[in-house]
Amino acid sequence: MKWSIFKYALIVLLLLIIGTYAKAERTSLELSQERRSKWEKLIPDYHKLQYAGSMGFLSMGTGWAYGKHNNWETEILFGFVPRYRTEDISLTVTLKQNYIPFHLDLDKKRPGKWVLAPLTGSIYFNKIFGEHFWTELPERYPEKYYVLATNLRFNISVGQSITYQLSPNKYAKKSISFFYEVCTNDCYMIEAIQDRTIGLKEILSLSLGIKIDMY
Amino acid sequence: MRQSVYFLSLLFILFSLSGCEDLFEYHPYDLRFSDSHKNTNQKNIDKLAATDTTARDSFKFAFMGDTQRCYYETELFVKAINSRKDISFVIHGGDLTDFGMKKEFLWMKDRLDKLNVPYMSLVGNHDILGQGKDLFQNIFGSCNFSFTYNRTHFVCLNTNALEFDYSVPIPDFSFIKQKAADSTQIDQTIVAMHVPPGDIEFNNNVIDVFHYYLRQNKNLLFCAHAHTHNLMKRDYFNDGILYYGADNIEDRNYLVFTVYKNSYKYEVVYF
Repeated sequence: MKWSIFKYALIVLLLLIIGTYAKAERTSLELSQERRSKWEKLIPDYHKLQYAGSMGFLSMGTGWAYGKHNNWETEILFGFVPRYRTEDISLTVTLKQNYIPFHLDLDKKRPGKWVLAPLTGSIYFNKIFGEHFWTELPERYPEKYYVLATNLRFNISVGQSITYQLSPNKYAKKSISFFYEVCTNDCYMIEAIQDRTIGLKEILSLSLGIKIDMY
Repeated sequence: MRQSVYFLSLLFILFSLSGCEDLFEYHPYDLRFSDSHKNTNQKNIDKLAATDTTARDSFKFAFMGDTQRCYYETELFVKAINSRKDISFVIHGGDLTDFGMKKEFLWMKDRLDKLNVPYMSLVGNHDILGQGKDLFQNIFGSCNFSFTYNRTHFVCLNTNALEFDYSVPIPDFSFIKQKAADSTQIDQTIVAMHVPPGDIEFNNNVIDVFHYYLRQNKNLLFCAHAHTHNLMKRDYFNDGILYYGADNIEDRNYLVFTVYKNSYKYEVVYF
């Protein structure tokens, strides 16, 4: 993995995080009632820390929520795989799309205090960096010698999350969510479909995470 | 309605997770696994050496390969071998996996571990994909290795040159030379490899040198390979040294070689 690429990615991530704090500051100054400019929409809405999930030991990232009830989320995560019998750690980057079809208010007396997302669904691409990996078949091979990119995995997951609102008021909606997901990837699905002895329990794995909403 | 959806989804997720073997996965290519999975080849070579106590006139071993993504057929193969008592050991000709991923190696190893006889595995070109080479070396062992049974030397070679873009010496002549020099305890030699000479994966620039070096081994009987997904038998260099190719396991057959002093027999066994 070229450190330089990752360095730039980290700088961008840092800017985005600083940006969200700026946005939170402004919203608390009752600016949210103004029509937000198009540029402001580019500032991320939340940050996330995720453990496992086939995209690294820990992944950190930021994302945007949109849709009528914030049913859709798009996020980018950076993760790493520690050294296990290898010389170097591996870095990964993940582009993830979430869909949250409904929210349930758990505390009827205090609407919005405890909110449960009974079902979340995600698809994500994870790319790992390293000298052994490639996306496009290297030139040395004849055409279509191998079909699937070794560094790019397509994952799907389902999960649940619970959100606690930290300081509810009319303008700022800071909250913290805990979630878990059960995921698998394209290669594992091929294995399970093609072979009768590989079942769901062989190809699924669990991941846990925390999400902090800034707006 | 919503409540029932919630409970159903929770139940489904918890049900699917109960009994997950690797609950948290960091990456399909990570090398995070129990130490008990390490050095499988050496452990099996040691087991085989422990049975190699008395000299016998002949012995049989099975040769197969290309089991990638065919766990069910591999289970059938294991049952077939376990049901007969005349096989001394099994050589897997490589391509245990299709993508070189950790789960694939361990799924395949789990099934092969059920063999009642020792087994050794070569490295196939698919086993090298991604972080596969590191996984193979940690779970099975060196890509080039050798062992002796009943005074017959088995030299197992990595011939997947294309995977390394010819930047690594494959085939490794210094390894072959070193093995050929050590011939006091043996009468004859059998060579096993994944990719046969002439294949696009092989380093064909050194094809004649390769065979020359193999001939330096004491009393070379024959060579066995996998990779072609077809039964094959060729006298590649027109010198009487035959190259036998094993079918992929999906076709449900394997080769059995009966090795005598200075000669051998072979047969194809379907299951």
